[in-house]
Amino acid sequence: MSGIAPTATRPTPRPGGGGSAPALDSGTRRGDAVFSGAVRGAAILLLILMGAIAAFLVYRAQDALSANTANVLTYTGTWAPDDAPPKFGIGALAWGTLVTSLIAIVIAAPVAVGVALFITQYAPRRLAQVLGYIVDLLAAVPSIIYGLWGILFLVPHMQGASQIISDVLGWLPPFEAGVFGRSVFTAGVILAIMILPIIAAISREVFLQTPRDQVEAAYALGATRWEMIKLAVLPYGRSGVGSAIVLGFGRALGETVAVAMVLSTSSIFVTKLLQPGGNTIAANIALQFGSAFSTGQGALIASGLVLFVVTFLVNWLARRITKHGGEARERRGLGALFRIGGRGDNTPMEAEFDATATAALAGSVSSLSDGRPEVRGAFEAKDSVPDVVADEAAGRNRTHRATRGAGLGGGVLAAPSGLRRFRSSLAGGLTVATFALAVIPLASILWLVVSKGSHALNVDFLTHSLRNIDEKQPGGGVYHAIIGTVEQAGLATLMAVPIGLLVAVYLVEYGRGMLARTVTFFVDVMMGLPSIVAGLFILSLWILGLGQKANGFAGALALMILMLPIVIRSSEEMLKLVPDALREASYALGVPKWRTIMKIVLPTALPGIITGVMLGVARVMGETAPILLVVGYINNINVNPFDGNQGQATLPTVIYNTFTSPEHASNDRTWSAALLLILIIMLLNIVARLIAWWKKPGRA
Amino acid sequence: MAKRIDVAGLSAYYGPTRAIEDISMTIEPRTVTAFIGPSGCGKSTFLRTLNRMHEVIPGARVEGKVTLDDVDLYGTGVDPVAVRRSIGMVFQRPNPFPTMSIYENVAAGLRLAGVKKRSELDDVVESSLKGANLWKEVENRLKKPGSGLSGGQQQRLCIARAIAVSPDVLLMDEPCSALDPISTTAIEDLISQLKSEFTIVIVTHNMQQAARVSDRTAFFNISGTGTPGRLIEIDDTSRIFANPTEKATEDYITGRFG
Ligand SMILES: Nc1ncnc2c1ncn2[C@@H]1O[C@H](COP(=O)(O)OP(=O)(O)OP(=O)(O)O)[C@@H](O)[C@H]1O
Ligand SMILES: [Mg+2]
Repeated sequence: MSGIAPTATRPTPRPGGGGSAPALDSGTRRGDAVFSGAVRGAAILLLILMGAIAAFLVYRAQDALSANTANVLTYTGTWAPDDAPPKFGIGALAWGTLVTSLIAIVIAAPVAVGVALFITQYAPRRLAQVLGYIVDLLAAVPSIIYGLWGILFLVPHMQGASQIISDVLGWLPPFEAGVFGRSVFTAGVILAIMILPIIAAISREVFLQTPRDQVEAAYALGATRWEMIKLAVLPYGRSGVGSAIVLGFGRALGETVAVAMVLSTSSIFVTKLLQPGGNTIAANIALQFGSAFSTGQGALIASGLVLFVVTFLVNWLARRITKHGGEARERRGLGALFRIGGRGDNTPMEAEFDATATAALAGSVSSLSDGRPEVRGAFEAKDSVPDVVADEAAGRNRTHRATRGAGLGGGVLAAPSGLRRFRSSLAGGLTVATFALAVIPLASILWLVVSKGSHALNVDFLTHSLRNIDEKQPGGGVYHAIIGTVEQAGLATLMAVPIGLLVAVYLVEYGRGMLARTVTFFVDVMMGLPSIVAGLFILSLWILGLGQKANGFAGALALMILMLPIVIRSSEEMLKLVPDALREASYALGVPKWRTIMKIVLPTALPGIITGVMLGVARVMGETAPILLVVGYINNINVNPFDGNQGQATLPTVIYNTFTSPEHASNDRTWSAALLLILIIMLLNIVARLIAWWKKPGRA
Repeated sequence: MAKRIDVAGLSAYYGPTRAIEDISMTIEPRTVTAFIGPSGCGKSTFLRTLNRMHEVIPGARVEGKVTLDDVDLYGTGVDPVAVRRSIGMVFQRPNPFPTMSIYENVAAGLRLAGVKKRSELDDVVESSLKGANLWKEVENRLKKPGSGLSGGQQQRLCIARAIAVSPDVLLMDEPCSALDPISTTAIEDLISQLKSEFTIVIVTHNMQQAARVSDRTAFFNISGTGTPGRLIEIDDTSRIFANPTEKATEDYITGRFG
């Protein structure tokens, strides 16, 4: 009796019982423990997912590899894994991948750096942000649209360009003349356009971080603008830009659909850059998958594994290049593509958070608008290039006059030599040219898609499927594909957002030590993951491994893998922007950590998180490659993504499955589907950025 | 080739805000002129209008007149790049170019001006480093990065970099505020030596420093937050510290204010 009485009459101390300090409150502790357990669990789940995926890829590749009678790494002959005996190797494919990506990087890197210089150093300050968005929009255009534009617009135009190149360089064997068009060179050009925005975005962030004192030191020495860039901006940005270029290279290696559509593939070892033929690892997966049997699928998975390892190494290399603090810049640049107000927003945002947090600034809120944030980036962007060019030219003339007129001894205030002036103007002019060069494809794509796609885009198109519609027959539409796109992207969002948010909260609020570093590393890995590899993951794990069906849900799973890193990264950036003063204010009131996060931190960061999620949705909606692998394509309506007996169409797969048709009616539908896809994606992008802009302080 | 600066009715703006208002003064050649005054009164802003560094800030502009030996620095036809070449500047925080060696840092301005001859560069680098009292310390490591020097050495490197292009005027914005007392003494000695060749303007918060190194002192003040800074008076340093004309100057110097 005496042993029981105390517990019965006096149960364990109630929360906060006995007036003890709230920190000792066991209820609070339990809440914190549960919450931190949940976010940590999400982080660990992510690692398990990556581990399982890798294991299943290796496991699936194993069978095909052991059956293979050729050396998988060096064999350059025809891809024939389903023959008896199986014979396949990635020699020629890897070479083709390397060649196209190198062509892409050679073209894209200088243009992208020029674009970044133009936006950060030359463009008028007010315009700079808008110009940055325009380049970012290039990144939002889905691969399938690039492919469509490439095959129907670029390929014919590349014939002329190829002719010119072979006229000049034809004496070199790689540039030998022949049939031009669907060559690795054309594929490289398409890839260049596709990776340009990412290199430009990262370089832009890097250049914006140039320490102001370096810029001033250069100017104080009497440097022209271009000389200042050479003295301060470029040396400072060297490693960041290098890493941006390597990351762009990694993107080019993994790009699938655009190459598959543009390149006239053949299993040769490419040596003639301007002539058709060649193939890449990624394109080969997309093209061979439909006709692959069991060993064939295993062989494709094996090649995907190689692609995965190579992009992994390339991404790792990119990170190595910017060891010292560069990582943050590069991540910010990557982030810039998938978020949020863009440059210059962070500072005012912090300022506002600080203001709300401390309220002590109440009297001097107006001081928020004075200068500091503005000065940071657009330091020398006082006038536009045309102005500068005119200015510098006029300056020269005027100075000569002034020098003579004032009879200045020793030409003390004589302008820098004509050559220096000229160089500076030339450099400015060149950056404008690179910007124009970068925007031309965007304008051309939009023009082509709108002009070809608009007349078949009507209510019937939105409300009918392609069931029983012949290629030659007008009518029909993409109702079935809209359903598929919305359901798959929606399911992917439903899965990616909670997991992604939890992981982001873990990384920002709890993450310390080994686990956090590992998770961060794998998020970076996922960020650079080729989308076709995400498809292979789900194929080997979910469909082949767990015996699930190739339906809309499998597609959603693949999209989730692509969306997760975007959600994590952008939420992380937003959570980091919430100043510690807010958290401390909340702790000081005795609010436990988990409630502080739920009630203070997350709501404060919410607009930015929503923006990041929307940009992620826009990104995965346009995905083609993974869907080709894990969702069967059908022409009729299927509203049930879990239906195991039939697949589901999406807008990108409709385009992919119809673009080769020679028939007018079908072509019209392809373009209308493209227009619809672009409209949806642009709309999501614009709304997402508007939310960020709307929530930006000083905009009330 | 020290030169005289004349300023008349100068105001400077950051966007719509006027930071300094109606400043007129003469800065004599081969003297050291010190600018003192409370924080935010516009000393740096004014200093930067003298070599047209002010206008590199977006939205910033200047009204009024600055002449360098009768040449209007803001006149049409005058090139800011050329102005900055003849009026050098040393900043509060030492800012050597981190990717360049000590030698290249000093040679940077000359290289910009198109000097290519190795022997000429060698000569100027040596004489400038000597002029900045840094030669002995770095003689044997000219090829090492400038960022490897101590703060005080870096600041002297920046001074060497500024005097290497043989400017007419040297502007210094709190050049010692990031330095320890020994480095500060080294720079103060250097300033006293340099004034035989250059016109020197120095912004400082250190009253003793102004008294020690300058011949003339200008006192700036603001009447309240948000109002533009003004020049209260400029006079011989001995007079400003012993017997200023304005009450505000006396209050500031004796520590009753600011
Ligand atoms: N880049 C800028 N943008 C907007 N306002 C500025 C900027 N720089 C300075 N100001 C404002 O101009 C005024 C004068 O500043 P300045 O830096 O010239 O003062 P100072 O006398 O040098 O102060 P300190 O002794 O603290 O260096 C201040 O009100 C300041 O807030
Ligand atoms: Mg100052």
